[in-house]
Amino acid sequence: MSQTSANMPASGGRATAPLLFRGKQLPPLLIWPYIALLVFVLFPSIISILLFSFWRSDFVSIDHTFTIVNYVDALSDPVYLTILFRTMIFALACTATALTLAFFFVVAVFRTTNSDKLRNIIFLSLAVPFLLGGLVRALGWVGMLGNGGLINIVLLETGIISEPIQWLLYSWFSVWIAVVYNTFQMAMFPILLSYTAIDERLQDASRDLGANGLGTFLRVTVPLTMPGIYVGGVLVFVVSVASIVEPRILGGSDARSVAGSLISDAMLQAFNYPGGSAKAILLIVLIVAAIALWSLFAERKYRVFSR
Amino acid sequence: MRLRANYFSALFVAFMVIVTYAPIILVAALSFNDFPYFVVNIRGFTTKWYFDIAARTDLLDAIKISVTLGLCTAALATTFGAAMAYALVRRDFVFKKYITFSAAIPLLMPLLLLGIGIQLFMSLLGVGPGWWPLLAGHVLYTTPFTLLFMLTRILGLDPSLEAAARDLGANTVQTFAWVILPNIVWSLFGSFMLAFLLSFNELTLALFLAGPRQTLPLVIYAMMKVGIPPALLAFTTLMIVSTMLVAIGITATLAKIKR
Repeated sequence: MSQTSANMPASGGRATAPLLFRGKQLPPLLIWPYIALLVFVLFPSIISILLFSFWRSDFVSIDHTFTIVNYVDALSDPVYLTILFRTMIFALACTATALTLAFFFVVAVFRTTNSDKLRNIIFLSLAVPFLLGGLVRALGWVGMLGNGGLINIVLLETGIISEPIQWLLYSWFSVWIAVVYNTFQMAMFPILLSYTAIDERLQDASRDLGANGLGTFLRVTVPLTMPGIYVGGVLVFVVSVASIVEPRILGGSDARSVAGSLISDAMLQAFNYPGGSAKAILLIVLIVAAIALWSLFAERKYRVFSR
Repeated sequence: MRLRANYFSALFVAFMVIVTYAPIILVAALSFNDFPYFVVNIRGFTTKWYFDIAARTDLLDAIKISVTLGLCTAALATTFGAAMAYALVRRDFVFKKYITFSAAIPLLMPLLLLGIGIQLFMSLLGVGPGWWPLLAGHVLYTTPFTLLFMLTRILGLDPSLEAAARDLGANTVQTFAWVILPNIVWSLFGSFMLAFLLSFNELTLALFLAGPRQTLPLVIYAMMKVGIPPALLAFTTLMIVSTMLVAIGITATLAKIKR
């Protein structure tokens, strides 16, 4: 790469970008607009959350003196802490489910057909709902899980149950199903990339050396797919821990209260920007901590970063 | 990979495909049901709910806003994504590692937090929710996807093509127009459609940033909080069908790139 750019001015006679920092060039002009967007919108936005969390709202205006009272309020509120805890458990459950399903799905597709074309069609067809948007998907699950929904009606008609199962919709169950459904492809594609990169001879070698199917699976296939599982885990966790649409539409009185809905209510209904920001920062801290632990596990046990 | 065909695996794959499409097909099927509630109670075939859509001016107004937003987002995100992908693959420059990481931040940041971040920053600037904050949010959200999409193509481009063009005397503009562009035009098309769909269906950022001009997902969300009128099912079905067509377009694009 560096060789190419070093050769370019000589071969093309192009104007050389100013040299800076140990002979490296400035970023090419064509990415400056995007860098500007990152530097002047994305970074200040992240910093704004932090700033606001140390200010105070007195209903009409923002008091700009530094205070940690928002954090004290949030951390001494048992309702908020319970909800934060439940949200974390819920997000972990969603991540575990999505990763497990995605992993076995990728393996199953490879065992179902040997045609690359058919495999690609299957994988892409599972990615299509991602493009439909959360609302359409949530609407679909209302229709599947409701009292008059497809699952209850089929079970009633076949006589398996005599009255509709109530906990299918407006419960943690329905939110869990919908969030896993939304995040499945974020787990599937990284796992697919890792899985296709596995040298199949390693699995053959493991079998030749006497490992049974399960041993090969646990000691060869899973560790070699770990980079994909790691990336997929991060992406799914980040989305599911901050989901607000699915809990709102599919959650009952209980599952509606997740950390994300508390933050958005503080921002959009109470207009308590500092309070909402402090809660958002606490959520970010937990997300970063969870990702750090997950990275530590993936590195210690599977050496994901030092391959 | 050499593996035996396995009936259990095939069954699981079939199950996953069915679960993926069942909710979507159910919405489409019930939009033709002659019954005004969103339950599986088949009373007969009707297309009357589709005529109800014409009366929902809130939906039709919101389409215009969402399409405009989607087109602007897609144009910007595709340009940014393609430029970033090209620069990351072909150029070496200062702070490259940090710039690459920053470009991935929106992917690692929940939309909820991106939304409130932009909202708070704009309020500091004295800008209320509206078109520009929402556009900025959507471009930040979709660019990592177009960047990844373009990376897969540009990584596969032979750098000697460009070197040859330059050696034969083409300037930067000519090299881009005659050598690079023909090779990436389908990927540009694919990322444009991807970014458009992501923006068109995006709700979380819009909740915080849209302001008075409500996008389509916001209007649908407001409707769904009250109840699900059959016209909404009909409308959603139209959205599903058009999204499917575009998705098939993207897939065909990918197939064309692979050759």
